[in-house]
Amino acid sequence: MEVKLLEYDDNHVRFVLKGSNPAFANALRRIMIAEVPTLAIDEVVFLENTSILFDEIIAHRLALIPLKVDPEFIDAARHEPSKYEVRFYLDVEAKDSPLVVYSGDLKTDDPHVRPVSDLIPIVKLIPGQKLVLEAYARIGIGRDHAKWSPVSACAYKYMPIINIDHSRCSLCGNCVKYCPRQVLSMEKDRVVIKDPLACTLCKYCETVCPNDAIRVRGDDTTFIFNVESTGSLPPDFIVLEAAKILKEKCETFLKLLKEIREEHT
Amino acid sequence: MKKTGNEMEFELEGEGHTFCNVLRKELLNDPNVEYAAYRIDHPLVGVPVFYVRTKGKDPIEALIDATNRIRKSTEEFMEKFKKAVSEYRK
Amino acid sequence: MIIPVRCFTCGSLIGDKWEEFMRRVSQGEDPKKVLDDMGIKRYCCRRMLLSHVEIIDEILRLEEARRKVSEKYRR
Repeated sequence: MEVKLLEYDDNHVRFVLKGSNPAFANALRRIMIAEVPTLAIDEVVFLENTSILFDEIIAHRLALIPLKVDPEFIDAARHEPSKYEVRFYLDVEAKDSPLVVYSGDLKTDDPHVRPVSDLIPIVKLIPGQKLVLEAYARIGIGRDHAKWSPVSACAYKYMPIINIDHSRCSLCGNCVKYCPRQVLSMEKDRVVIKDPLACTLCKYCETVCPNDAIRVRGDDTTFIFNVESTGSLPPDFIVLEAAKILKEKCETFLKLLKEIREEHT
Repeated sequence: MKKTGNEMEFELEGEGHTFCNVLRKELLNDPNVEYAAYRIDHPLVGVPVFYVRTKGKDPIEALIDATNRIRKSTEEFMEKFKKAVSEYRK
Repeated sequence: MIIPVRCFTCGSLIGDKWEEFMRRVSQGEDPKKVLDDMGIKRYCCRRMLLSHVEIIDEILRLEEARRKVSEKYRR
């Protein structure tokens, strides 16, 4: 097994996983989407809402605000999610002029938690309107509600294998011209693969080739992962946490199996 | 759970395709396993039912071996990924 | 009504990008360039901003009008 990072920044990571199998890659992907826990607003108590949006809509908008959390906090809280609760409060009134209520207006006592962005509009108020509420953020997983999913785009694709049969190639240039990702390029007397990682395995080059000289296949032991965080957790942490969860699943299952083995002997 | 000789059928409550599929795949890598499959009756509320048949090996042992292999490859992945991140940061 | 907080399809945060997007586009910038600039690369997220119609300001005007009428009848 080999891992190589291609891109890495604050909210996304792209890496190649070599020498694995689709089942393992898929398990990782599924855990990242649905089982890595994060913090999200789960309950809202409205004390006053004279805005033009219903309580439910505001509660829903609040819930979707990604909250930036300390990764260590999540790792520690994972086993007892019900123990953790972060209280937010919001108290805004439009006095003389209309104003926009932003996610940045949410106040909390916990210094470790804050919205990913302070500029998310929640609602607009005209003079005289008021919004007072208390919100409780809890730990949960994406399987229960998408608001808890730490990733937005999280997918993998097979590593493309592009074979060009140079003896059959007539250098018509169709594949180079029609490739939607500009993977190929023409160099003097042959077609060369310029950027194999950009290939999406659409096989359009195969279709437009008059001589059947190009073949595109996916290598199902090598995967290109693209993980994009919503901003609540660092992307590399999400990947590692997913692996950790998979490992824990194995351990729990092993424990159960050993218990069953005891019973049967 | 049902177990007879080299056959075993059991329910895996609280799990879904995420774990069952890797387990199935890993079991089939064992030359002593003849057959391994699972089904989920309902996509939302179904509990996976797993079935294993071996060529004589105790199915529990086959499951333990397969799970250990998954755990090992997960550990390997974590290690390699951490290394790749620290290399990239340099 | 008001810009959604997240992209309907992929779930990435777009709510905070609306105001900048709108400001720059109304200043005559090319929407394509603005989106690229703000790092919104997938078409699911791009359509969230491109196809959004912010009607909350109009609803607020109606609310204001409604308020005036009801005040008049109260008197």
